[in-house]
Amino acid sequence: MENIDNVKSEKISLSANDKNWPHLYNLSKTFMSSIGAARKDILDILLSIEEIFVNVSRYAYSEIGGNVTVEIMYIGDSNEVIIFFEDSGIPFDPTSRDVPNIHDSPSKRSIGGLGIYIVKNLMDFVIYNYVDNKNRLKFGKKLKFGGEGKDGNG
Amino acid sequence: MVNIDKIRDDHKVIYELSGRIDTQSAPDLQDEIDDCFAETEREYENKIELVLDFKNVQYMSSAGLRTVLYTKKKVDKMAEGSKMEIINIQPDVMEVFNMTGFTDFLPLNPI
Repeated sequence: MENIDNVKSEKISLSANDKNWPHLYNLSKTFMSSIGAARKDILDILLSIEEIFVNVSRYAYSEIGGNVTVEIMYIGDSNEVIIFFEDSGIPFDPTSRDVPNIHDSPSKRSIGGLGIYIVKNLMDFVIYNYVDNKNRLKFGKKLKFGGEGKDGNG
Repeated sequence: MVNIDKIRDDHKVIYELSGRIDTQSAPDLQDEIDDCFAETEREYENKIELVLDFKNVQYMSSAGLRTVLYTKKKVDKMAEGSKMEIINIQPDVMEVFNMTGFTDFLPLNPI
């Protein structure tokens, strides 16, 4: 874990495959616990990371597959967690996806689009860019409960 | 991962679930429910009163929502009198159901 002043981060590059979700889950949960985040904030972050990771796993690459880099950063001064996803897959902006009609009957519903919808609801911001042939997604939130920066203790 | 305990009493089936329902574990849950549906069709006139007990489910992603929606759609096509509900839902999981409108069409009972 990197720690510069009041910023901590953890970065990992892994194959964009659903089978790697448990590994990413454990890493993310460990990081969030290490910064003193409360349970609700941890769950919101983990859920958002899963939804984005699965999105990349399913849609970024063809059968050949590819890697995704995930960085989780905690900024103590603002008590904020920011997550960065970067992959070299096909250009795809998940934030541009149509908002699903969450009031449709079961027979009309699909699950498509609910993942990013959940992330947008749980996070304070979700920002997409396509730069240097890479999809870059950044999302995050201020911790509502706990966090090392909340009371000034490092 | 999710732990799945099944209790059957004639047409009534209760699944006591614990752990996480996520992209890794949701397929296992769906397989289990599919087996239950096959058994119900063979031995119980295709009628089911399905209860998912979420008391010990701490986390659920859209993968879990997919399994719940799939299950609901299946139950709706089963014999008359078939129904489904989810009980003892933890607040964080309830929030996911609420924000995605699942409360519109499914009996969801918080803990």
